[in-house]
Amino acid sequence: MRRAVITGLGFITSIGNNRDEVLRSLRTAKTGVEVYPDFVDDPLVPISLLGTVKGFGFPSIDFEDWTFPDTYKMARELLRPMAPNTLYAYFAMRQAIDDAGLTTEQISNPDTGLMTANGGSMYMTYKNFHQFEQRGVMRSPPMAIINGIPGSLYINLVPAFHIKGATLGFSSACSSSSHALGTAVDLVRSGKQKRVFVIGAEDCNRYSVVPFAGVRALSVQKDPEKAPCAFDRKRDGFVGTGGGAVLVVEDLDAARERGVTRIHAEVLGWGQSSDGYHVLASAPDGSGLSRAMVQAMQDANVQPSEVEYINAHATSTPFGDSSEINAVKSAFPEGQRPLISSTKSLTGHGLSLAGAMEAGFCCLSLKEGFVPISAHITDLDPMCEGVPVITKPVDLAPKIVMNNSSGFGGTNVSVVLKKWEE
Amino acid sequence: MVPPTEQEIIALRTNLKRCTPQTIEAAVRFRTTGDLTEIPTVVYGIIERHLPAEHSRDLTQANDDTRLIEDLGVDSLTLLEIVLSIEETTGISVENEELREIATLGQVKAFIAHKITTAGDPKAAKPAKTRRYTQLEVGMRLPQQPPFFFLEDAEIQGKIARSSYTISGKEYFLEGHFKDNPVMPASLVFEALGQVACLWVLECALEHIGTDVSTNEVLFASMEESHFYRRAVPGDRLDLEVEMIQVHEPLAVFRGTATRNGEKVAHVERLVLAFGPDVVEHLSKREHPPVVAEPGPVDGAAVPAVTPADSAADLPVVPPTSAEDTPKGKVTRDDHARPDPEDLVAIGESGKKPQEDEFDRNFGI
Repeated sequence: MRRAVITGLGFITSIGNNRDEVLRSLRTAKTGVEVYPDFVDDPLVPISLLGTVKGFGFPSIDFEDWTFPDTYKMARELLRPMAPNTLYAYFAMRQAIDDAGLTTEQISNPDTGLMTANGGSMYMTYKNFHQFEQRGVMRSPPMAIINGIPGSLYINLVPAFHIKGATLGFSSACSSSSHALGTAVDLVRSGKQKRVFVIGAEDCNRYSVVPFAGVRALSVQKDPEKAPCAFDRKRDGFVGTGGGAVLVVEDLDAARERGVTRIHAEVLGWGQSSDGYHVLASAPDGSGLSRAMVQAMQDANVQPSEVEYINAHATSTPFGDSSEINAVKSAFPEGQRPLISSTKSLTGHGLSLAGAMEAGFCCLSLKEGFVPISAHITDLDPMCEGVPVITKPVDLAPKIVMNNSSGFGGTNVSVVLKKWEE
Repeated sequence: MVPPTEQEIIALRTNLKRCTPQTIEAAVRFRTTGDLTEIPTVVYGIIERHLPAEHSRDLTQANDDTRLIEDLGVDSLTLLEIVLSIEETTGISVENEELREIATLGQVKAFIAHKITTAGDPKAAKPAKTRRYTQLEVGMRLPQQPPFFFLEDAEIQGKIARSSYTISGKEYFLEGHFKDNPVMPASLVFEALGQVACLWVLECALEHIGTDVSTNEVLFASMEESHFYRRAVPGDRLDLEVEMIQVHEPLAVFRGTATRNGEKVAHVERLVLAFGPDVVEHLSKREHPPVVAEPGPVDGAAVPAVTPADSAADLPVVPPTSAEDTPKGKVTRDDHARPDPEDLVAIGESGKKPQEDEFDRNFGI
């Protein structure tokens, strides 16, 4: 079997709009969460916090009103079909391409594919339908479908980058971009593609986040230095975020052939499972996620004792976090449990973005030799006993790490990554 | 025009916020006064604001012939954006088919002005859409080709198709028709009407009866009550018009008139074309049994004899002369008889005169 390595990373996230900023935030536990005026100013919105994406503004659905860094020239034709999540992803994609040092020919050929994960733009959809109802169908924005549906991410990026290889859009809620990563790894390891871009992206606004308040899944905390707080006894729900994250998954031989000098990490394997339990809640015993982790370790051919760090899915909801702790307890024998933290306590929960973003964090952890802490824990949930949650900085340069993702409906994905050593 | 409310004016200004102040003020004046002279400023202003950055935003160099796509770099989606903005600003509605016909700045202006002036008139509000064809476009569609191609630019509006033919004086058939006295044969005037009808069948059969007819699948079938009134001589421009009376596969029935300066040159009350692959296959056989039509409801579809009116033209007749007055032009039909498919006569039937064969061959075989 061929080997899949990560040769490029791109980040537009609440904790940084490039790799260096993200790395600095993770190392220093700097939060990307803020009090969001649009929430606090609205008495009907019960939440205050959002993992804001800095430097981007979307005051209306008219792309000509949008503000964003002037890093890249954005033609009208390019922007016109986009939603906020697409624009984030485009920026992250450009970064990843630069990071991987890919030429135009290496991007646009039948051996290079693109896997996207996205929940669609509720914002664009809602505003589009508003115009649809108010002004009539024929005066609705012409791009109303393709900038709203989950597929809009690949619909935009495939033509923008002239992608010629395999394309898929993933819509498995919060595990979407981990499914995308796993599928990309399969395509590369089987030799069907030489490289695959993995892209997770979400909007970051009232429409993408606040609806989760309806199921009481969001934290009502007002202080971004206190929440979110995964694994803490006081955790009261997640804080939303958005942005875009891109990983370039590449066949090792193909990467060497084109003279790649820097490999971020190798993806050793992955596993996936379903809870078959509930539309929203994870199985309390974590059996589904546990099976995904065991399968991932088997696929990666590593022993539980070899895994040194887990970037948890833990979103800071009471049920979800405890379910994940139970899953870790079940997948790893006592005494062989890896360090675990939730970077969502710094970034907020990026939904479809989460898996790709956190796999990117795992690459940084492996490459730079550190493990990010689980922030804002002052009262560790006693049920975490026996699972080493990182509440304070530790001195560890892990060689093998794992990233977990779970989504509504009980979908679970676990990915095992290894530090790259020549 | 109902004067806009204050809120509508605000909405108008918001809609046009990226246009120049001149454009916005012209739009406000237009909405307030209905003054059509403001339209070019408004329309140009809206187009200008949508132009790609790499193109000059200065439309002062542009004229009515400036093409939106080729000259200004407007893509189809930008055109849609422009139209939506114009719709919002002027209060008109543009349909997809109309949109496709707009290619130049001049067409945009004329179209908007037309839409606005016809807006409250229910009759004019939804005119049958006119499709226009250049002579080249007509030639690309018809099976007839020079020197047996008698159409210039053409248009189709609903059931009506129009074209024209100007007799240059250099046509080959004038040499012997007649000695020192060039006259366009009446048969060829009817041929020209037939060619207009042929264009209608090729372009409209699909939308009317769902049959997509190919270029070589239209044949002349019959003609009734054809009359020739005036001679057509070099320098004359014949205006040709046919109206579809009935269409039912495999037959289409037309009424046709040729005029010169508004004066009637020729008229045919029923000009019948047969079309469709079955008809062609049927007639391609060496021996030609009659075309078997689906026993459809086309009244009078089964006309026993083809009656080209060329007899009238063979004589330098003085108008008005009816084809029926000539021995060969006599039409017999039994309106009460159930159309018998066996009676349907197609061109090429044995015993036909050579000139009829040529006529028919050029009409589509």
